[in-house]
Amino acid sequence: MTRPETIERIRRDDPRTGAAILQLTSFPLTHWLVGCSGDGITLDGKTLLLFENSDPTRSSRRDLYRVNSDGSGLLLLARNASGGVVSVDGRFAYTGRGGSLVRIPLGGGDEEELARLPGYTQAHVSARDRIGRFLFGQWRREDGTFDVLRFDLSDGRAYQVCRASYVMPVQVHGVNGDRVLASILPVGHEGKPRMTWGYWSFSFDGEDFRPIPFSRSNNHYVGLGGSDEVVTCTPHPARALEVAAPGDSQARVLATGAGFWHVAADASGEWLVCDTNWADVGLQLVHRPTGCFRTLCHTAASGGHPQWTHAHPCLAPNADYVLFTSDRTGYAQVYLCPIPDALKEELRQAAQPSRPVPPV
Amino acid sequence: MATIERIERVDPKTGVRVLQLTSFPLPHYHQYCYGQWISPDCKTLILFGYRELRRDSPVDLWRVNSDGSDLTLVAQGASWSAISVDGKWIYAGRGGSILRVPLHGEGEEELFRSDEYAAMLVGAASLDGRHLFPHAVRPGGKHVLLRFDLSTGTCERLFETSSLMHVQLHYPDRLLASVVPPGLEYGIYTFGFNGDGFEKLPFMRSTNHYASLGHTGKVITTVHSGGKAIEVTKPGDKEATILAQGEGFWHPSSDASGEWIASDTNWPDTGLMLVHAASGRYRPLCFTGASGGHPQWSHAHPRIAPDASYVVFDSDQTGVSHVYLAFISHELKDHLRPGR
Repeated sequence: MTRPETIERIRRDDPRTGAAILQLTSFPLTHWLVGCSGDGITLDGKTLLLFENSDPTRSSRRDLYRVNSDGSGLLLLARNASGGVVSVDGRFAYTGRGGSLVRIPLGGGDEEELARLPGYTQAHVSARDRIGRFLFGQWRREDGTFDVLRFDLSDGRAYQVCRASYVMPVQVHGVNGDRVLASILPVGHEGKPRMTWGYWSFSFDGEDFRPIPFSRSNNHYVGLGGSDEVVTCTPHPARALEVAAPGDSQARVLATGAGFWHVAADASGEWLVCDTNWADVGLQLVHRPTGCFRTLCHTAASGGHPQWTHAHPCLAPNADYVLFTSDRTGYAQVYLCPIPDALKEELRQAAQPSRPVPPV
Repeated sequence: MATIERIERVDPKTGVRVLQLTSFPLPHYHQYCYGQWISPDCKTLILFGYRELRRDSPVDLWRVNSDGSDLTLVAQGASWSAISVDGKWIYAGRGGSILRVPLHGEGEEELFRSDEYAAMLVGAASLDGRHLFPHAVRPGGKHVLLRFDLSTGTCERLFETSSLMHVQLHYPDRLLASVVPPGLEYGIYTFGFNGDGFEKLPFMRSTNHYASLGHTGKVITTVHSGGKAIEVTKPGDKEATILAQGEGFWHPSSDASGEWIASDTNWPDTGLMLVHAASGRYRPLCFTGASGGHPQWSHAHPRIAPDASYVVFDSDQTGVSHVYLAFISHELKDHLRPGR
């Protein structure tokens, strides 16, 4: 890429919680995060991926950027990209374009096409395994269905995990990190459903489908690190976070008392973060073992129908900070809110679940 | 084609009338805290506008009246510029060229061109209307200060240096810049129209934001590291003295008389301050809403009009940088003058 690194950071303190928020992008174009799973962040938390609409049109091209968590080093990595994952060693970013898998040095430089698969109109890279061997993504077929693909970076080969008529970006989960999690309607090669739509955990080979028994999920969920459990948000009137593992008979309430909307987890599974809506009472940091939560900050995202008005929080793998998107300026930009150690300690010590700070 | 994009606003905290001069959602910004880009009668000013909404967009030169009327594209792809002392012309840089454009009219004329230079910033002009002092930049990044004679069309190279910033007229017949002069150390200097006679100003903690204090011969700067002050000095002084203190003054600007200073503030932003130079008394004129972050487009960069009737500033309060104008009332001035 020809553009140099730049810095667009703006410090914005949350007037209600005092959180020291850093706005990472500020040029008036639409920016957003690559996903809520954390696979777009280096394991040390120092660098992350984000997207930009390259021009102010609804049909704009989408370009992939990286930026450091201190707001420095904002750099265009790839034009016309879809999805983004950082390699386990932090050296590369992987993304999709057309039917291709593309690799770009995270420090910038020439991109490399690792695979080009015919018969696909779009490639969306969404997950990595823990040891850095496999990448996962959804490749959209010309007939409108999707193939969930697994790329073996050791030999460059692509494997079809399964086909689906509907699939949300797949995640890697499980206590051993060897299963795939998705909201998915799997279909056979002839296009007929293999099972009902739902939240499914399945092997890297597309076998051993096990249901996650969420009966009132809003389709926002995340696998908990170091565990088989999955957490989801349940909308009004439940106003809760629920947790379940593949094969469980029913989900259990983890926390209740706020309109939890989108959920993300750190690598250890100790911490969760959720934005809230109806009413927006702020971005909540949730302690998984106790279910206690506190307001970290207020995103000021509009929370309307368009995706660009949703905060879509993402927790750093080391739980040092939360990333979110906000259209508070009229343009969706990416923000970072550090998590104070004192807040974590307060939640660890809390005996009872707590209500969030009410909006002013 | 001329247009009008003005939006009337009233500062909710100070009640001051603020006129937003540009509002189409593309980044706009004025020509910084000093320079000769406001017409002598203060009725017209020139500013920049992105042509497209992308980071590497071409930037065009526009003019607008101080009442928000007659917003007009002046020159495409033009750089920093100065209005002639008779108020008839705009002199602007473009690549290695110097352009002349009527302030109120159409058409442009290339007065000078050199392939030696990648950029040309025309920020200073002599008060007799004869000379321009363009700051030229070589493709490799070296800086050259030029003197262009408008009566003969000849261009002289005054000096070449590794560092040159903020070249401006120091009334009546010297220049002011932060520079590494030939054979001297870096500093903020005044110097002659021949590129000689360098006199270093004794600023020890300048933010590198400074301006001539009107026609007084003095120079003001804001100070870094929590100094929360505006300092003043003049060539030949041994040290600077504090002119005003108590706010995080950031970018200072002076009117032509040197009686009034405008400065934005940061860490924290306590408003755009109007400062009475002689007494050091100040009050917030308005709040810019500028984010005050790392990007230049988030800085207010206030510039007070030569007649001290208004302050021009930038603000990204709408998410996009635009140019605003805050009017200064006689009542506020009277309030700040000593004895009130």
